[in-house]
Amino acid sequence: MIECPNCARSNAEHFKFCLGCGTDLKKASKAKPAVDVVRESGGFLEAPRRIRSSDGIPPLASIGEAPPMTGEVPVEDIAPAFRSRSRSDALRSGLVSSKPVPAAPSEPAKSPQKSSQTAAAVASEPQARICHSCGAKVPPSFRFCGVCGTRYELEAIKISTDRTAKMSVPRATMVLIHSDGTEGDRFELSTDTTTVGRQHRLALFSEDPFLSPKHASFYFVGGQLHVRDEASLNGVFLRIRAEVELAHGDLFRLGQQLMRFEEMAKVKPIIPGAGDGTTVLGSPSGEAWGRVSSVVAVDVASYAWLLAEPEIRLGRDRGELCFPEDGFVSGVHCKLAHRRGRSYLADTGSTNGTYLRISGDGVLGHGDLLLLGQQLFKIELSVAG
Amino acid sequence: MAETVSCSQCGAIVPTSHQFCGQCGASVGAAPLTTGSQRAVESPCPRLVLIRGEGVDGTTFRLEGSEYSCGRTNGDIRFPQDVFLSPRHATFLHQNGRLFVRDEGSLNGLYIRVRGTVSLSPGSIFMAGEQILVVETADPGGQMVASDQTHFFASPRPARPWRLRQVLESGRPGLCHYVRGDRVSIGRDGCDLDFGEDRFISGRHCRVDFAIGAISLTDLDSRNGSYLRVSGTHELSHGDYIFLGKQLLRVEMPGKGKAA
Repeated sequence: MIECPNCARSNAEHFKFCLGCGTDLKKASKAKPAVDVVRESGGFLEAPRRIRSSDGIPPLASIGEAPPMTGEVPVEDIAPAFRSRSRSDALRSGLVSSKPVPAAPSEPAKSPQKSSQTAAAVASEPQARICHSCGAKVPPSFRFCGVCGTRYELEAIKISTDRTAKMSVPRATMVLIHSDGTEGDRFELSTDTTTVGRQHRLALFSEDPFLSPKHASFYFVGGQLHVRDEASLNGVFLRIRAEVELAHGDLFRLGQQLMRFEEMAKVKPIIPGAGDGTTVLGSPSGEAWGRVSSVVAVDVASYAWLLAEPEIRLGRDRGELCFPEDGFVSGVHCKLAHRRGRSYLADTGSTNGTYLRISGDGVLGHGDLLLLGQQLFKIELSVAG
Repeated sequence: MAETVSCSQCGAIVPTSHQFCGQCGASVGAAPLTTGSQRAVESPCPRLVLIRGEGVDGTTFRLEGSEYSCGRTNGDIRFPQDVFLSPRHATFLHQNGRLFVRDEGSLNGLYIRVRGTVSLSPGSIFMAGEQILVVETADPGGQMVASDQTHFFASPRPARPWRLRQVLESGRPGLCHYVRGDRVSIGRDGCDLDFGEDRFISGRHCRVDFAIGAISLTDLDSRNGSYLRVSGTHELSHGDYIFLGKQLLRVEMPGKGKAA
């Protein structure tokens, strides 16, 4: 085992990055040079099963660089973190893994790569349904859930009816992306409104402590899939594809960081004036057009930066704002820009992506990636018929 | 060392033996209203010398009595244009040859130039160049679990809560810098905390050292100095520099000659 010099967490020998805090273990321990680091770059969108980093970054959704036992490592290693480590470590582990809830490691075949046994065959079978009572996989040929016995014959009939009756009705599936980048459970969204949250009967949602009881709703309007944040605590974060405009108070995530953006003109004083015409003394804000801060608790920030240049790059070790301790942030990860009075956020080809919290309601497209609670989901859209 | 006075017109330093200012030709006999006239120069009383831009001496205020109040609109010494001064800001007290300054509950307080190293405490406020920074050490705390038992998904906390928080004009929050290690250097370039746009900050200006129960601020021989905000009543000594609002004053005590 390698003990992380930063957070003291024990990591398996072959890990490149600490599961607890993302510290580069190879660099930190000055051990043998990294093996086979140079691989093609790619993101979840293009190659979800072969997530590689061009700059040695472990993927956020998890660590494609832990090859031999990818399916099992996160389960074995993260579960203890949830039981015994401090709350902040647990939080970190949650982000690191973005994996299914560790409390249910015995669930059959979380990972399609786990083995070539029957269970794995069942799991990787794309048509497998998820039992609505217990969350287990139910192959289409089964009439009852093998785990809890729920009867599925009627369900199957209903689905086939839908298919024939409603031609060209869009279908949407949420695909869980495991910590190793592989695809996991599939959760088909109803053509009506589907609300997910901790109150949901599926363990996939009910066991995620970072989901609000009623977290988000998915529904179709005019053939488009929408997601609505149900005033949840942690929100719904969508991986940005192109440059997006930022509004005052927007939250975004890179690596393990939760950031809040503020327009300088709307930043409120924290020191009240005396009401006698005296101005509070302070540093000039100069050319600053915005302010970003790292959020560490509800409405509590730690680091804060002023944005004065027209373009500010955020990265692990390059750029104007650096997060040297966060192994899930790429060298240069994303940038904030200001043009003609408007502010923008753009990803700069990061390995793990930049996520923007949707405010209220958002439209989802095929291949979109959503952070929901501590889990990462890919949206798959298709037209039934 | 020859006694000098400041020219009331241009602020240049004029030896007391001269009748006219060498810079602008004004008669130095006509001293400003609030300052002592030339004939009083020899009398032993503390003086406050207003420092103008570029470090040139300006008006000299002679504290001949025991109490001099200072403010934007009220008091013996007034700076009506300085919106950073409270109407009544501070009082200078001259007692038994010692000089004190008392903050009259002003909004922006008094800042004294640091000589060498001074100790700080959580909440201390200091000025380097144009930057106003607050030292904080308490964990920011905050709620991590909502009332419905949902856990909050947040950034990892910095390893230690030691930080410097910038206060912007009008009291808005600026940057917040967490200390990596146990010290933070402040300057314009190549420091832990750089303020590249600040014309008044030196390349390496000052340093704050953190240790449990002992925080200190060291000026690194900066050109414009580092200033610590003081509260209550503070004793001044010869050569001290003090900021009130945007006014910078040098303290000169009798018998010490002109401060360097």
